[in-house]
Amino acid sequence: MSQDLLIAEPKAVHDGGAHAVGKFTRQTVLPVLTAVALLAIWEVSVKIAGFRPAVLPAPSAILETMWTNRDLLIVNAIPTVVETIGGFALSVVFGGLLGILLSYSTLARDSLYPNVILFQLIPKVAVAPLFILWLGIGWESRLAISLFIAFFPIVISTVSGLNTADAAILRLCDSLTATRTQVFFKVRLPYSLPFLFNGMKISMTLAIIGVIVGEFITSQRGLGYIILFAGSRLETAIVMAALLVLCIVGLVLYGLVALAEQIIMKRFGD
Amino acid sequence: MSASSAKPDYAFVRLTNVGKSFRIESGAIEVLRNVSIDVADRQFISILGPSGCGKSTLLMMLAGLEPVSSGAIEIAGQAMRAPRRDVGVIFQDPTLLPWKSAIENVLFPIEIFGLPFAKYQARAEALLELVGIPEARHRRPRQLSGGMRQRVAICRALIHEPKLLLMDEPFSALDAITRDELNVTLLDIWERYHQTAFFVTHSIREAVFLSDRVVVVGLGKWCWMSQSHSRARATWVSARAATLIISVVNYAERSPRITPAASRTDAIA
Repeated sequence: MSQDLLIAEPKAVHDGGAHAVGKFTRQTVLPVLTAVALLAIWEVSVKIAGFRPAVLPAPSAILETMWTNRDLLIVNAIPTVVETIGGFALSVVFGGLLGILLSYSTLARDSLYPNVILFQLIPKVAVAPLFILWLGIGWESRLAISLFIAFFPIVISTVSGLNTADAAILRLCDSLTATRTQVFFKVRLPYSLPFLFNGMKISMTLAIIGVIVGEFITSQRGLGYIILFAGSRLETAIVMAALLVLCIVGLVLYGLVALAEQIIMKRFGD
Repeated sequence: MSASSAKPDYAFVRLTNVGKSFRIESGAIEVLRNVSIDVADRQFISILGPSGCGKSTLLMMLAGLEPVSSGAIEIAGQAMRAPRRDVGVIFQDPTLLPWKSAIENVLFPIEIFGLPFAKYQARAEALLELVGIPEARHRRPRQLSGGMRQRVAICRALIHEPKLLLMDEPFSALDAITRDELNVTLLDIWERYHQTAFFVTHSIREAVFLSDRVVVVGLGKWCWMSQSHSRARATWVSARAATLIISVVNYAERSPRITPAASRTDAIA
């Protein structure tokens, strides 16, 4: 059997290597080329058709605006990033705790779970003005909206993740007189990690949405505020520049969760 | 009926009129009734029977994982009500944690018991050596064959030096060749450590090869036979179970017990 493995391993690596060249071309070069082509068409058609910048600025104009307004964009990106991370962190803490409670207490599961599901049917953006009413127009309400939107995937992934531990392994733990705390940290939690990371990736994208919605409504600062404010003044290039920064912020934050997943799953994967 | 058995002077494991029934919607299903077995210290006993006869349930009760419905189980003079730390269990599946290497899995009971790792590290390595997979020490379960995984599970059941070893059809998921190899390995280990061992199986071959004593469960009856090396002698209480026992005896006489050390062929290592 181990001989089989020895024969199979280098073959698999070789296969992967040969495959990777084609994969890189198809999965990296091709989409980049497509994007560049689309941007070129955009640029050229704006020049030819002569759209007004207030309607559709050319990509080059957007980049130029982004550079000239870099201070404004950076100053407003910082609160957006900080509040998103805050909303995400609160979601992980509260969603995780609620998930653990629902997993471990039948009373909590029976009384709370149907209500949590029902709560989810409310279009969450529609509730945002309530938070302004309760918490004012400061960062508190933006954080609350972000938490409100982003915590649900964490609850679901915690509940389903904590239930994935192999029943036979749980029986082994029983036979070893393992305590509930030991079973939680040594078996259930590691088994739930793939679920938790999936939940966290979704939650991170939702946390950004929550903060932007909050910024739209509170109109104090942040990229959402810039988008709304510049839009009302027909400064479309700034709107698009802010959107581009928002894309980068989203990619980086999502990438951080994915990176953490890669590092941790290297230890706790199979 | 009760399984009649000669009572040893000192029974390490004593089952007295053990019964088990499971409640279902329309009443209860009785799985075991009045099972009485005394097992002397350091005996290897097999519980042999077809599937569904309650032999695995009996083993789970011995492990303290299932409560008895009636009767009592005593281990070393103490009533068995919950799992004990001086018992090692090998399940049908290897039940290894996928993110732990072979040696980390072997040390898992030590981790749970909160015992010093350093003290058991060498024992874990020695056990892996004994079952013939020292080179697989740092591999994760995914990188091990089925037989290798079950070998790791054997080491894990032995790491904390249990006085009683319980095995629930541990090799039933393996192919015949691996299974025979593991039987030899198991006997090797048992002859070195000599724990009291319960081995549940539906294979007559396995039961005869491994055991000092075989308890045959068949057709709703329990009876037992003992076996001493190449000569088997059986005592039975049920005429209906006799057929099964006779086949066991015949088998035993045709296949004298192999000396494990001499016959050891470890193709995996």
